[in-house]
Amino acid sequence: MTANRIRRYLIAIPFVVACASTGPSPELVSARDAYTRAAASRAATDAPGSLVSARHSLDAAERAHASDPGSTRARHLAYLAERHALIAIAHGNAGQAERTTAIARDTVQRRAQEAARAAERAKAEAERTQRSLAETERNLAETQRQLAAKGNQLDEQARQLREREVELQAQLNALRAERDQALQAMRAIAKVHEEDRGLVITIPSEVMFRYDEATLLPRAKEKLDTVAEALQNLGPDQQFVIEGHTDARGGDAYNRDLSRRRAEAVRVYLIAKGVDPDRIVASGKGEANPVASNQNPEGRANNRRVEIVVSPPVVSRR
Amino acid sequence: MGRASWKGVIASAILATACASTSRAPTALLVESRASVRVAEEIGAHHDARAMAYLELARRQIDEGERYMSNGDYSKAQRSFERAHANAELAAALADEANARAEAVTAQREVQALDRTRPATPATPKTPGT
Repeated sequence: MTANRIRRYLIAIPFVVACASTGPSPELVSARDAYTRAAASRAATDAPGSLVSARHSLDAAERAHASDPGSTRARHLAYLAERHALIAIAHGNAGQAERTTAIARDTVQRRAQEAARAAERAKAEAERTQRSLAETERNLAETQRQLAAKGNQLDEQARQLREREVELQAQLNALRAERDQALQAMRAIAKVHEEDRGLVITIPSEVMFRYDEATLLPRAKEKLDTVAEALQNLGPDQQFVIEGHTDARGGDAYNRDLSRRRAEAVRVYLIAKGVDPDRIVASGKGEANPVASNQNPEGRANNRRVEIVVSPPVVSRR
Repeated sequence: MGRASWKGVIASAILATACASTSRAPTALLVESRASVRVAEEIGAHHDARAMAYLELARRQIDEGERYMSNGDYSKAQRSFERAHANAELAAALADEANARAEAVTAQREVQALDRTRPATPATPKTPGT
């Protein structure tokens, strides 16, 4: 090694030392800081490729600084490294925002699908309700039709009943007229009055029988003809009881027998004149049921009698 | 490869090539820088203040590089174009970020609007903030 070469090395040493001890340029400081921020930012997760590029760029700047501190090239590479770090940060933020957008849009889409499904369900429910309503309306219409038919049927029945009522009323009126006519006829020949036990037709015994006999006189038969006709006109439902009564003279048993025989004579005659035998009975009451005093002739005359009791009602029911 | 990392690789490749030959006019770098500026403009860098600042810086650096190149100072021209390229990329990234944030806000407002109109709100998944 020559002296000149040694001298040149010695001269160069202070410069090498100076360069080695030179601190990082402002550009490199900024680049390092920017990279530190980038590494801590969302670039690590959302833009890893950009972060790697920024790392490589910073490494290149660091190497340039190590080999030639403060040089134009080193400062230039540091400048570029800082920009690359800032780009990585921006890419990370954009990636994060895009993820946010994707999640929000997914939510919107999911909500839209939920809304569509809810609308479908609501539509199906509405259709079911509509079908149910239509079915109910059909049933209602059918029920109304049946009710209308039933109503018509009832109206027809009511009309028939009214006709029947009118018919029955006419029959009733006719029967009443017949009854009234019969009663009128009987009143002409006998005393007729109403009691609880029924219509009582009283014929004095003197009119029908000789004293102490039970054979009908001819004039009695004339009256009984009228009575027989009237009884038959009273209607088919009445029952007739022929009661014979005497005054208090004579023995009780005798009187009862006499009154029974007289009642029976009337019954036989009425049957002979057309009165239904199943509806007519004869009974001898004797002196048991006086209608007047037996102490005088007039009273005893009233007590000697034949009563024809028409069981109520007098007016027939059909 | 992640977001725009290929651009960094290409830029590094161009840089390496350019470094290896500063004796020639860095025309390719000029073209690349201009292309980066156009990309930033198309993304909408002029709508974001920060992006716009870096875009303007990139334009000035391209002009500066062209002056160096016309004076035959290719090394300075190369550095100017490289810086312009980096700043244009940063402007594009910031514009991209602003767009993504705006889009996220819009999407989140849509969700909030749905939340307001929903009568019964079952638990919804939480969306991370931007």
